[in-house]
Amino acid sequence: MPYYETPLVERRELEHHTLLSLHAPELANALRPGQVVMVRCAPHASDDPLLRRALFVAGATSATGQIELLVEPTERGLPWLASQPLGTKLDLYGPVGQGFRLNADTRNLLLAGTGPAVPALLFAARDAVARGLAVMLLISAESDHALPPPFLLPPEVEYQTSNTGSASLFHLIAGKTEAPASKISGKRKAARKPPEPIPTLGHSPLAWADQIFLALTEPLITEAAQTVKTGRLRWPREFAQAALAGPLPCGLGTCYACPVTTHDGQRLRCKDGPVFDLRLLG
Amino acid sequence: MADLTVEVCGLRFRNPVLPAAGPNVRDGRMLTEAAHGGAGGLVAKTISVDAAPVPMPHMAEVRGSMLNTELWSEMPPERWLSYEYAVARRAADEAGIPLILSLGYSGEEIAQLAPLVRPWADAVELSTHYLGEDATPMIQAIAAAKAALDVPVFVKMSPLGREMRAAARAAQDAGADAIVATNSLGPAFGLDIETGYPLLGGSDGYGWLSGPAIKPLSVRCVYDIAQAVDLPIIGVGGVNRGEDAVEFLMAGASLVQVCTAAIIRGSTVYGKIASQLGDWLDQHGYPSPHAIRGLAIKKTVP
Ligand SMILES: Cc1cc2nc3c(=O)[nH]c(=O)nc-3n(C[C@H](O)[C@H](O)[C@H](O)COP(=O)(O)O)c2cc1C
Ligand code: FES
Repeated sequence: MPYYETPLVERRELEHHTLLSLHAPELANALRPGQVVMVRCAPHASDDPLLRRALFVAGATSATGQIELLVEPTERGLPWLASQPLGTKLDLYGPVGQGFRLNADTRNLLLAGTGPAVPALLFAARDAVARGLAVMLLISAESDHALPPPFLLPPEVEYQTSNTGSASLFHLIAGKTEAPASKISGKRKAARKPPEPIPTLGHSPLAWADQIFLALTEPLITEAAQTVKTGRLRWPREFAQAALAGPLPCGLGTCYACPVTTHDGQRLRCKDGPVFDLRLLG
Repeated sequence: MADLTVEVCGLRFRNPVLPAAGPNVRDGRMLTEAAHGGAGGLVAKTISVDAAPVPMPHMAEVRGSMLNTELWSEMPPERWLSYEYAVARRAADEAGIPLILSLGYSGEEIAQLAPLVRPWADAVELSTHYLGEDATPMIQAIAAAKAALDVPVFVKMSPLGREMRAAARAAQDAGADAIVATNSLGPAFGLDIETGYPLLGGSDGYGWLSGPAIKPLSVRCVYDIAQAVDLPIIGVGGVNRGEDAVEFLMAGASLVQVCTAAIIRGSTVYGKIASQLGDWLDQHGYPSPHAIRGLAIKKTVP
């Protein structure tokens, strides 16, 4: 596993998150949406917290050699990370795990999620737009300020959010009209030749999508699988993939603290995931 | 510039910072990484006569430290003998450093394993982790290793209270060539207060503490052992930076080993700690690690 000392080159303090840009050309080349980096979140002279923090990468650009981390100060160590001055060399390793697998014939990509894996969707959205895909992003959170701000996304992305928690996510995906209060934060602009128009609320984003990439926590797997099953008659492998958030103490496959029960037996989130085919989970 | 090379039991280490047995050296590839990462010598993960079961999870963070319930290698000895040791041997030879193979546990098990590992070993390290506090099983394990091998036999001790000196003397009398102190501390126990379940898997949820929290205990063990026996001592427990190595050397160690810091920081940590040690020696005008070995004992013991 490659280890890096990456300088912090930009920091943007948002309402609830901090967006960090790190100069890490080798990593920027290697990272795929859905993968994680393990960041040491303590000053040099301190051992607290001892273990690294696992962060889903929010963006990586080979051209600039930069990677982006969207830090939400939810865990010990993360407030320290978010407050570092420019120039700080952050000690991290990655890429950890398997990212999303984009099919060659996918034209319409639906991204949907909630929780700590959401940055993976921002990365996937930017990557997909760069490849000329039509992208729709649905995110739910407990409150407005916990939602990633729309300016982090390319303007081509249709971005819909809900601030009423995870239950509303599945309404958004299924395009149910009785969805709990939701709003459109992003602005739909013409995507590059989408084969079909992007659906508005009331139509099913799920029916429109060639693939759906989800950001979930484990308790949401069953409902996610149910939603996809109900919305699609045919549900081939790789159609629905989920980046699963949860503890990753080592990120190396050594501590066995990240087991995920799949239909193929027990798997490790840090090696076999964090992105899994939803059919294996639900 | 300080000369970091150290000779212990006739083996020449390019610096005094080695990996300690653990997931950081769990196979030939990781041992190769340790050599590339600047380790002064190599120590492989403990093997026993069977592959170890894998409790899930077997590591967890507790404030300032780590709990683990990892047993010995989850690979069967056949795999080590047919492949992993050869890879490790090649890495050690290329780097010009010794390779120490860790074996567990009882006299019978050591008698079975020792002759098999001999072709790859410059020394063996016996783990006494599951042998209890009575010295007899440790003495039997040392006797079995000495009978089967013509290479140095190191004995790794778990941290005991005031009994470290007696245990070290017993090991010396049984023929041990060096003492490694210490293994992780326990059993310990931690809970996830959201679920009420133990942090670790396994039948009882018990684990062993390692990392910075145990350093003062391990340094004390080294300090006690250094006063009790004439054998070289290898200090282990919470070594994370050059200053930690200095402290162990001053307490009487000739070499140090690193596990938890290597799990967290990767295999380049050995070389980094060694170079920090070199810088410290330079800044304080000492020509070598040997020059500070046992300094604390000289100062404190009449
Ligand atoms: C996950 C883990 C696995 C370990 N496995 C072994 C082992 O197989 N054999 C052994 O002698 N010690 C083992 N140890 C103990 C270490 O080698 C070392 O003695 C102890 O962790 C203290 O050093 P540290 O603070 O640098 O980790 C293990 C420690 C950890 C954390
Ligand atoms: S995070 Fe340690 S095994 Fe997956």
